[in-house]
Parts: sequence; C-alpha cells; structure tokens
Amino acid sequence: MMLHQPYQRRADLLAVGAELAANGVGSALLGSYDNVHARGVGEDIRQAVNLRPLLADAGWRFGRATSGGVATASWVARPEPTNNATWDVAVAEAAAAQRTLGVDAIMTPAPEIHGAHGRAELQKPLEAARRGFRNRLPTDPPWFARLTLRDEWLVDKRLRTPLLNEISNLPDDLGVALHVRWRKDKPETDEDLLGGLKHVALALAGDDRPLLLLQSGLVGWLSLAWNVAAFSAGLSNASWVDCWSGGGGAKPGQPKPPNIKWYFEPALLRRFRDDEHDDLAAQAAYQACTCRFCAALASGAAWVPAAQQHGLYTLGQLTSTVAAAPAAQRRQAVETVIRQAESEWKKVVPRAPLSPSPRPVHLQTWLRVL
Amino acid sequence: MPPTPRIPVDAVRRAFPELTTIEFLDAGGQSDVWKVAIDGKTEILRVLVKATEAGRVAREMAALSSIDSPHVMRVYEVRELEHDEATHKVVRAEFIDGPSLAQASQQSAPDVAAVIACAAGVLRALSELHERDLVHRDIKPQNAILRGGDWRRPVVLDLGYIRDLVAPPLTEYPARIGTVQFMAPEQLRHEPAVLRSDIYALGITLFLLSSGTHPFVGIGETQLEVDEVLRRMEAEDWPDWVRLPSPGAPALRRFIEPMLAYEPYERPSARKALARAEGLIAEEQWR
Repeated sequence: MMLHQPYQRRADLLAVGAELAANGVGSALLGSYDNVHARGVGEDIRQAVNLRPLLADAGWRFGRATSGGVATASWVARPEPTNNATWDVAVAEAAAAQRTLGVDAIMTPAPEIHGAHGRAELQKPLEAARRGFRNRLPTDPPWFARLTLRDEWLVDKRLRTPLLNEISNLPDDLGVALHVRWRKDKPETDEDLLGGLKHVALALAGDDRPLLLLQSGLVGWLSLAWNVAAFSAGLSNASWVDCWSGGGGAKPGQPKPPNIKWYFEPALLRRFRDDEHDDLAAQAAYQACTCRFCAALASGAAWVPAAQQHGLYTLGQLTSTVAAAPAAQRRQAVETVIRQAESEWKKVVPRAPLSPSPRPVHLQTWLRVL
Repeated sequence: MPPTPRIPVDAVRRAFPELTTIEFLDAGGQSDVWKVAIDGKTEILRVLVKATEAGRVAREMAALSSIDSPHVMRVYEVRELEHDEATHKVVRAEFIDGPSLAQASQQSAPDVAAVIACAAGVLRALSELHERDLVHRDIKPQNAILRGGDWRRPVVLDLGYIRDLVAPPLTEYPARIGTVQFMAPEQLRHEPAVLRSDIYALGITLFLLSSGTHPFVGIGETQLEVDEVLRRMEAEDWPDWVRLPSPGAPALRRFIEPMLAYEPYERPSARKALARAEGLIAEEQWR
C-alpha cells in the first residue's frame, strides 16, 4: 500500500507508516507534485527516507504557478502541454525532479481525460511517457505512465477497449499509474464500475505490466484480487475515493456541508459515520480495534486525525494479509477476507440501527464481481 | 512469367562498381533484389523502385543500426543510383542462404516442432523491434528466410514498411500499409498498425504454415471482400481449427489462437508469446 501524503499533516501520516513498519507491515510513501501538495513533495520525501519505497506523483492539475503562495513545480506551473515538444519538456522536468528526490519509481504527469475527449487525448500523455521512457537513464528506477481518467473509461466498453489497446502498445517495461476519478462517492457498491476496473486490472496483469491505482482506498484494496501491484490511500477522504462530481462536498450555490467524521471498520470493510460507529460499538458482539490510534481515541484524542490514522493503519494491515499470498492466490485471499467480513456483519450489524443501508451491499457486490 | 528487374543491371553496377558478380533474384512490391559478390562476400542489393520511399529507407536504416540479432537481417549501407532522371535508394544487406518460409513450406509441410521453433525465432526478432517501439507491419512467409533451411533459424527481413512509434508518421491515415492477407483487423480498418499487429500477422503466418491455408479464407475461395474478412476475424467459428495437422493440433491452437484475438490488447506481447514458445519447446508439449 502506498501512503498518500498530504502536505499539511505530514507527521500524522508518517506516524501511520512508522506504526505499520513497527508491526512488520510494509508500505510505501507517495508524495505528490499536484498543486494542492506541491509545497511538500521535495522536503517531505527527503525527511521520510526511512519509509521506503518512495514515490512522487508527477501530478495532473496543470497551470497553477503557486499553491498557498509557494511556487509549484515547473511543469505543474505551466499550462497543460499541447504538443510533443511541450509534453517532452514536462516529462523530462518531472523525471529529473524525481531523480533528484531519489525515488524508487518515476511517474509521468497526465491531465484528467473525460470520455468525451476521446482516444486522441488519451494518446498524448501515453505517447509522452513512451518518449520519456525511451530517453530514460540506465540508472533510473522503473517508470510508470500516469493516467488520470474519468470512470467512463472503465465502464463503457467503447472507451475501455481503446484504452487497453493504447496501454498494450506501450513498451513492456513501462508500468501504468491509474488515477480514476469516480462519478459516485461510493464506487465500491457499483458493480459496473468495479467490473470495468477488474477487466483493466486483469488485462494489465496478463501482460505482466505493473498497475498502480492512485487514490483508490478500499477499491484499491479489492483490486489486489486482480493482481494490481499497489494502491494508494491517505488520511483524506479524497485519497480513498476521488469523486469528480463533488461527492459530499459543496454543491454550486449551496453552503458547504459539514465534514463527515468517518471511521473505518476493518472487520466489516466499510467506513461508517461516527454516530453509526458508536451504534456498532455498543453491540455485544462488536470487537473494538486495539490499534494505537484507537487507544488514543479512547483516551480522548481528537477524531481527526486519530480515526483517519486508524483507518489507514488497518487498511495497511488488510493489505499485508492479502499481499502475503502468492499472486495466483490473491483473489482467494481477498475473498476470504470479504467472507469473514460478511460473517462479522451478520453478528454485529443487524442489531444496530444503521442507515441508510443495513445490508452489506458492498460485500455482496464485491463477491459477485470477484 | 519470371520476374524481371525494373531498374537495369547497368545502373546497379554503376552504383556499386566494386561488385564482382551480380544475379537477379526477385522483384517485390517495393524493390528489385539482386545477389552480388563484394569483397569476396555474398550480399544482396535491394533497389527501391519508387523514388518516394527515401524516408522509409532512412527509417529502416536507423532502426536496423541499433539491432544485432541473428533473427533480423543485417543492413550495411544505403547508396543511390540514377535511372531515367530519378534517384533510387539501394540497400546493401546480408545475404541469407536459405528458402523463405513460403518456399520451405511448399517444399514440405513443417511439423509442429518446426512451426513452434520458427515462431520462437520470429518472436525474438519482433521482441528486438518492439523493444525499440518499431512495428514491422509486413510479417508474412515471404519476409522471413530460414538460414541454412533450418526452421529454428528464421531471419526477418524487409523492414521497408517499419513504423517507429516515436517518430513523426510517414503515413497519413486512413491508409493500409503492408500486405492485405496478413493484416490485423485494425489495419484492415485503415487504422495505424500497433506492435501487436505484428503478432496477428505472425498468427496468420503460423496457421498458414501449419495447415497450408489462410485462417480466414475458406477452402476453394479465391476472392473475399475486406468486410467479410473482418466479420470472420471477429466471429467465433473462424478460423477452422480442424485444419491444423495432427499430432500437435491442440498445442498449436493454444499457441496461435491468442495471437489472432480481434483486439490488440487481447493478443500476447512478443515477449510473452516468445516465453510461451520457449515453454512449449522445452517441454515438447505438442507430443
């Protein structure tokens, strides 16, 4: 699992990495040159060298020269590349910056591509990655072509097929870092979305092409069943589910709704609101988490970041359980965890007044898709 | 009627005054091919009959200069000759003593072991090309020669249609580049060839070598519309796998069928297909 690093709460995230390492769970640190986090990536990654592998996402939001009053990385600051020459400069600068950081993989940048953009737009970042990869240095770590796609590229076969054809035409040793922007804030219960992701993941695994799923949280964990190489999640909601339609955020013309306080129940493989969590915790069969972050919560620590740290830490543990299985048995390993969660759900949830859905819809969906 | 050269021998001699013997071999779609002796070595000269192919020759030379493989024909130099007020490129290349796959299969049908061994050799060549983002675009039985007549030692030649995925395109699409009978669905649809278009062409080639028939042409059929070929390529009841020879047909089918997948991403990469071929050879799984 790659720990998706924010800028402002770096110490909170590194505490999760340290706790995972202390418990023998491997994880990677993923910094980001994306505008929001642009201030952090260089210095933070240098300070976190004990948390390896290190990766630095080259980003996808172009055209902002500053973030929080601080200059962004050069290729992020310029407008989105429009031709081979500007693309090549962006990829070269991103690669050079990552080399300077001493990362364990090099990732190319890529703007968000909607289905309506079509295949020609899809080709631009991929072909730029191909050219960059051809000019790679002998000492470079593995390269990954980033793709930032709206979820229709996975769901609609008329888009998914050209997507896979373009990817399969890349050099064998060029991996793919896929950042899916979902139209729903609960992609984990959408069979079509997950089915499309499965198709893509299995196609790449069949080619032995490593696939990283960025900002994918629980969906990323589920995708380990289809042999994705790694996924990222962080403390923020968007690092678990990146939803372009806004999800629970502000709607145009309306005030921003209050932030939801989420708690991840690792035994049930779902996040619950804090009040729902309280209901669950009151059940006799409920087994409270014993992680260090939950202990802090019980001692009165603030919900943020302790509950977020617990979520990320336990997701890391779940990942470790599945990743320990050989590739050919990962699907089975994921299914075992899901069936355990289903069983746990029956013990704990029916007696809790949860809304809106007391049924384990996500688990049932996953078992159908697996 | 035997093929005749379109550029006269005198013009070729003027461009290569050092050659001591010269013998006309063949006239292809793009070039005349001569067998010559230079400095005591037997080589070939490929004279491009169309003056407009200069860009392709430069690309072919650039591509081949980076490859040193026993399965890819070596190219030494390019010169120019003048004929009828036109300038023609002449490619001087390695002479490979042996029949083409087409000729060898007509002499005697290869068994499964020979077909798989030949496939492995061609796939080694394709792996070298694809690793450099080069699409051959004209894989067919006429474009590979068996060194010394050995099915284990095929050499891929004629890289005149090569497409460098990184370089600006020489072809304006929609267009069809290559040999229609060996084109992948995407090429037949006038789309650019991709790396795995070569894999499709190899799949057709292997089926043809094994069965003596084209996978998408029925017995006795002489003319087919492209739309009908495309329909058959997508249909589940084509090709007719019963045409593959026994013993070894099941193994051969398992090897060839993925290469003939309609969508490029469903076909194996050259590297992956080579691993499968080597696995089959090591375990003699067709027996």
